[in-house]
Formats: sequence, C-alpha cells, structure tokens
Amino acid sequence: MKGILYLFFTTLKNAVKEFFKRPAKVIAGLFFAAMLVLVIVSGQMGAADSAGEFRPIGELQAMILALYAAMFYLMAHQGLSAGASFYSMADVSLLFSCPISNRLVLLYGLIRQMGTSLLVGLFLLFQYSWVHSTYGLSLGGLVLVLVGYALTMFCGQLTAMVIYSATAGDEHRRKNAKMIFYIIGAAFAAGILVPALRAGTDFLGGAIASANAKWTVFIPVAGWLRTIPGMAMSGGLLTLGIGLGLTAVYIGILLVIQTRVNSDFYEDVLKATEISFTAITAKKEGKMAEAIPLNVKVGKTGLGPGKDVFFRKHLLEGRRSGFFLFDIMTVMMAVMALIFSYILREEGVLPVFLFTTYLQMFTALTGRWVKELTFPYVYLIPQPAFRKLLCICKENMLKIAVDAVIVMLPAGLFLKAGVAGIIALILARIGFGILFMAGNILVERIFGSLTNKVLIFGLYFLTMILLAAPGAVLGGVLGVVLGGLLPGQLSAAIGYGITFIWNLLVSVVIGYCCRNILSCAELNNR
Amino acid sequence: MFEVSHVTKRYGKVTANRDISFSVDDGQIAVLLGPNGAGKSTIIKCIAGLLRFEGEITICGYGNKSLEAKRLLGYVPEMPAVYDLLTVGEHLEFIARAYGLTDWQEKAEKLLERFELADKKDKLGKELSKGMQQKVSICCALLPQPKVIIFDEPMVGLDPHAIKVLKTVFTELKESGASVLISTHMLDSVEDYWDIAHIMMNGQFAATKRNHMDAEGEKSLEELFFEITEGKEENQ
Repeated sequence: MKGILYLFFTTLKNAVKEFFKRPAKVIAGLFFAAMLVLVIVSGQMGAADSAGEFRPIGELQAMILALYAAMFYLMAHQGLSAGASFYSMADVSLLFSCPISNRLVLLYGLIRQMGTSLLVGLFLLFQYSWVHSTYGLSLGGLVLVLVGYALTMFCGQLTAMVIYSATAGDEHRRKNAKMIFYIIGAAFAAGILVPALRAGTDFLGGAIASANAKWTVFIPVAGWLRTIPGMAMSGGLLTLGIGLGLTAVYIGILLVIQTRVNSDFYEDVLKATEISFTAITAKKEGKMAEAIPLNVKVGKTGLGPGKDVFFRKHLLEGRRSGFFLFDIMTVMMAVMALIFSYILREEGVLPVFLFTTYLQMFTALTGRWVKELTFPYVYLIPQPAFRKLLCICKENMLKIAVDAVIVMLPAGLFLKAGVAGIIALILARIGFGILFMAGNILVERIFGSLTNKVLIFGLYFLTMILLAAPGAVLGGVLGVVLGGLLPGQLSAAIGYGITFIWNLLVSVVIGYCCRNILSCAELNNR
Repeated sequence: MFEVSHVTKRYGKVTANRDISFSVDDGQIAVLLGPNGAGKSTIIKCIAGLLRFEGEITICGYGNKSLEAKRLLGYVPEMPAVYDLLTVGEHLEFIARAYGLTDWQEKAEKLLERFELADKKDKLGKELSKGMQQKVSICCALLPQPKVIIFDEPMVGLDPHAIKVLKTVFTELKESGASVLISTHMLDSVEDYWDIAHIMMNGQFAATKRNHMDAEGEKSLEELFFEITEGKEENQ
C-alpha cells in the first residue's frame, strides 16, 4: 500500500510542479480558465436575455444519451479487440512485479482512470454558455453532466477490460461476444431510430421523444445517467440517486467479476498497454501511429506493375489496412453531411459545403505521404525531388477524389443541387483537399523544424485561410454576379468551379516551390 | 532457486511456449538463447508473473504469482519503461516502499553511482534517454536484493561502461547465491560467466549446454547455437 500511495501522490505532486515550470503550460492554463469564466458569464447573460423561456430539457437529455451511449459503446468495444488498460508500460515493468496485491493494483488503476476521464470530459464545461441560455441548465447541473460523462467513460473501460478478460484466447467465445455486443447495440439504436423514422418529417422530434422514453433505462450506464440534466433542474434527487446507484452497482458487479473470477488480469491489460505505449512513443517522437486492424489479411502479395513504387505501396497498405481509398472518416463525413443537409435543407448546399470543408482541414493532416517523411527511403531514392513528391502524394490525391464523391454526392442529391451543381461541389471539395495537402507540405517545409506542435497547427490553419481566401472570395463574387444573369444552380456551380481552379493552381505552385522538402530530411524534424 | 515445470503458453491457436521445464539453482547463471520469435520473452514474462500459462513456476518454492515470490524476484524487461513524472531517485524510493525495504538509501546511492546515474538523480523519467531508462530499470530490479533475477535483453541500449558494470553485477549476483536468468542475442556478452545455456527454437528448448570451460574439444556456445538454429532452418 505504501508503495502505491507514494507512486500516486509523488506523480501528482511532480505533475503540478512540472506544470508551473513551463510558462507555455501556465499561459495555456490561464487561458483555459479565462475562457471558462467568459463562457460562464456569457451563458448567464444569454439566460437573462431569454427571460426564462427555455427549450424542452428532453432535447438536452437526448443529446446526453447519444454522447454517453456513443462513448460507452466505443470504449466497451475495445474489449473485443486489444482490450483496455488503465496502466502505463512503467506500471507493467515496475508495479506489476512488486509484491503488491492485484486488487490494490486494480484499485490504483481505477482511481487514476477516473481522474483521466474527468480531465478528458472538461470540454463539456465549455458548453455552459449555450446549454444554460438554451435549456437553463445551471453550472452545478453541467458539473453533474461532466461527472456522468467521466462515469460513462470509466464504466466503458471497465466493461472493455472484463469483456477482454472473459474472451481472451478463445476465438469462439470472442466471436459470440462480438455478435451479442453488436446485436445489443443495434437493438438500442433501432429502439431510438425506428420511432424517429416513423415520425416522418419530424425526424428529430421523433428521435428526441424515443430517447426520452422510459425503456431507455435499460441502456446500461448511458440510460441511467441521461436524466442528470432534468434531475439537476427539477431537484429530483431520487431519480438521480437511482441512476447513480445503478451505475455503482454495475461497477461493483464488474469489479467482483474481475477480481474474484479473474484476479490474474495482468496479461489482459498487457497488450492494450503495449499498444498505447507504442502510440505514445510514436507521438513523442513526432511520428504518426497508424490504426492497423488487429488481424491484417495479407491477400495478394507484391506491389504490382508500374514504376510508381510509392503509389503502389500506398495502395497495398490501404488495402491491408481495411479501407481501400477511403476510410472511416470519409464515411463519418458523408453521414454528417447528410445530417447537416437535413437540418439546413432550407439554406441550400453552401452551409453543408462550408461545414464539410472546415472538417476537411483536420482530416487533411493525415495521409500516407506525411508518414513517408518519417522514413529514410524517400530521401535516399535517386530520383528528382519533385517527382518523388508527386509520387508520394498520388494515392492521397486519388483518395481526395473518392472522398469528394462519397461525401458530396449523397448531400448534393438530397439537396437537389442538379448535375452541374453536384459535379461542381465534388470538384470544389477535390480542390480544397489538394490545397490542404499542398498547404500541409508548405507548413512542413517552412515550419517543419519547429518542435511546438500547437504552434505548427496554428500556423497550418492560418496558412490555409490565407491561401484559400482569394479563390473563395473570387468564386463567391462571381457566383453572386452571375446569379443575375444565369440560372441559380449554374452560377453557383461556376462559383465552386472557380475555387477549384484557384486551389489547384496554388497547389501546383506550392508543390513546385517546396519540391526540395525531399532533398534533405533535416528540413523537417520528423 | 526457481523452477519452471511443463509450462505451455498459448495465444489463441499460436503456441508461444511448449512444455518448457528447467530450473536455475542458487548461485547459478542461466542464459536463454534463440533467434527472434523463439519464445524467450514469453517464458520470461510467464516467470515474471505477467502472463497466464499452463504448468507451474515456483520462485524459492512459492508460486510465482504469490506475494512471497514477488518479494524474492527481480525483473528487467526487454523494453525499458519508467514513470515520466518520477525522478530517478523517486523510482528507487517507490521500489523501496513497495518492497518494504529498510535502510535502502545507501544501497540506492551506490547503485546510482555504479551506473553513472548519481548526477541524474533528480531528473524526471521523461527526460531520460532509452539507455538511461534501461539503467534505472536495472537499478530498480537490483535494489531489493532479489534471490531470483531475470534479465530480458539487458545489454540493449547500454553504453560500454554500463555493460561492463552489468557484467560485474552478474558475477556478484552469482557469488551472493542468487539465481540469474539472462535472455540475450549477444552471445559474446555472456561467454565468460554462464553456467547453463538453453537454446530455444519454435517455443521449445532445442538444446541445453553446461559450461565446461576447461573441457577440450567441446563446441563453443556460438558454434552450438549456429549449428542448432541454422542447421534446423536448412532441414526445414
């Protein structure tokens, strides 16, 4: 016990000391606190303006159910792959071999994990302004929502650990667990979505009503804790107590299973700890850790014909990673674009395009070409630097095109943008995708030697805005001017087309100017 | 001493260790050799109590997962990992408290000096290089003066001075009556002081050799290793 207490408190003390030693961290902390105060004050003012008229709290409860359920499901799902771990590699190396009982080690991991979950959930406090002004939720209520979030994350991880322990080493059992897991998930999703779909045009109203139905109490953890906002406002302590009580019982049962049935859990957390250690080490070294499926199907071997060895290699890697030319982000983006199209169906395609382009800025930061910069091969291959740069970007360009079709086609069809409009939307998204990639190359080339990743990220966004602005303004102005002369859809299509041409031109210039990024590995610090 | 008896370790359908039995007596140094993927690290993790397995492992008569066994066991993992937010000195203090050691400070100071870590005592784990982390890991394993100690690739990442010190430590452990197991690829690094060598192939012991330094005409460890590993590959 002494050892664990020493470890816990010394780590905590040193974390605080480290925080105050780094001026950047202190400034970030102060900024964080100031922003929080600002959000709280603006929330209070917004609530005063609304004169006590708030939207139904059921809406907020439905959102909370969706957030909690998604987090719980995603966390628990880890139990079907590599498992979950509350521990670091240092724990494995030093703590696990110490003469300390497994239960104490488990307790230590759980307490630490709860702290981490609370920290991760701090973003919720920044929602105070709008939840207070829209739904009248107090700060205390929002803190309770945060506690609920931390509990959900915690329960999700604990569930993953128990699932992994129960199924590790038995493929048959794991498959059964997977099937049960997916069936339960699908059943709950259907329970919410089917009544919503039946509601016809009032899909959202239907979804909110079914998310607030009594049966949702059967959704583990998320269903028990979703009533927090309503209870916080009406003071229904009993229902709140029942929700928290059920969660406590759930945690207790899982702990009993973990400690009594399977007290020897070190092996079960080892793999997840090693995976997270590899990811953390890669991040520290500025490398990108790729999400590789647990079981990679090798399939046909060999790079195939053609001189573009990097392009061929990237295609092969893409195939083996489980997603060929598009990934889960593209699918998520397409779904989000559709949801956005539904919500803003009166506003036309522009808001949807702007929203998806904004998100595209983040996804453009990844890509196999960035990873290629971390390996020595691309620098050593005796070929002109510009050609090599094009080669390593080729797969990404193809991916951008596929992504544009997958994201824009359904949204364009839903919003009845017309053939010309849809083609223009797809081209415009391709243009922005290529521009973001080129901007990324530019930032790598100019600021790659900077070690401050936050600064690089900030510079990337600033650069992107500066590069895209002329094309966007030109396209917008032309679209408006031509709007009076041509049919609306056609003028908008021309506007989108202009942004495509501008972005493409800028990208080619950037690519050519930055071609020597591959002449010397020192030009970026990867 | 410690004893490994009929240990089999499976990961699903893959058998990483198959029916392994061996023991290391007090004052004996055993080395575990084998090509990559032979199952050396797996059996070491089994002994250290990190993995479940079929069979039995005892440390000085205690089941290897019991607290009594853990008190007597030291483990230096293949991948050094230290706490980012503990200083080098605090790592040793943590070990001292976890093992309930008394009067450990002087020994800790000596260890830090021997491994040239004394001036890094107040450095945080995250500020250490891989080699230094390895040294901290070794110091942590040595501090409780274990009766059984297992090293998984201990030389990797160490500077020449640390390698020299570690070799001396091996000899001292042997003289103090500890049972030492070292897994390594560096055959020449263990040539001087090993008592028994086990060569692993495909999760099993392919050969066991006792050290008779003065015996004439006997194959060296290196010769035997290549005869087994390369010979078997040719046969396959």
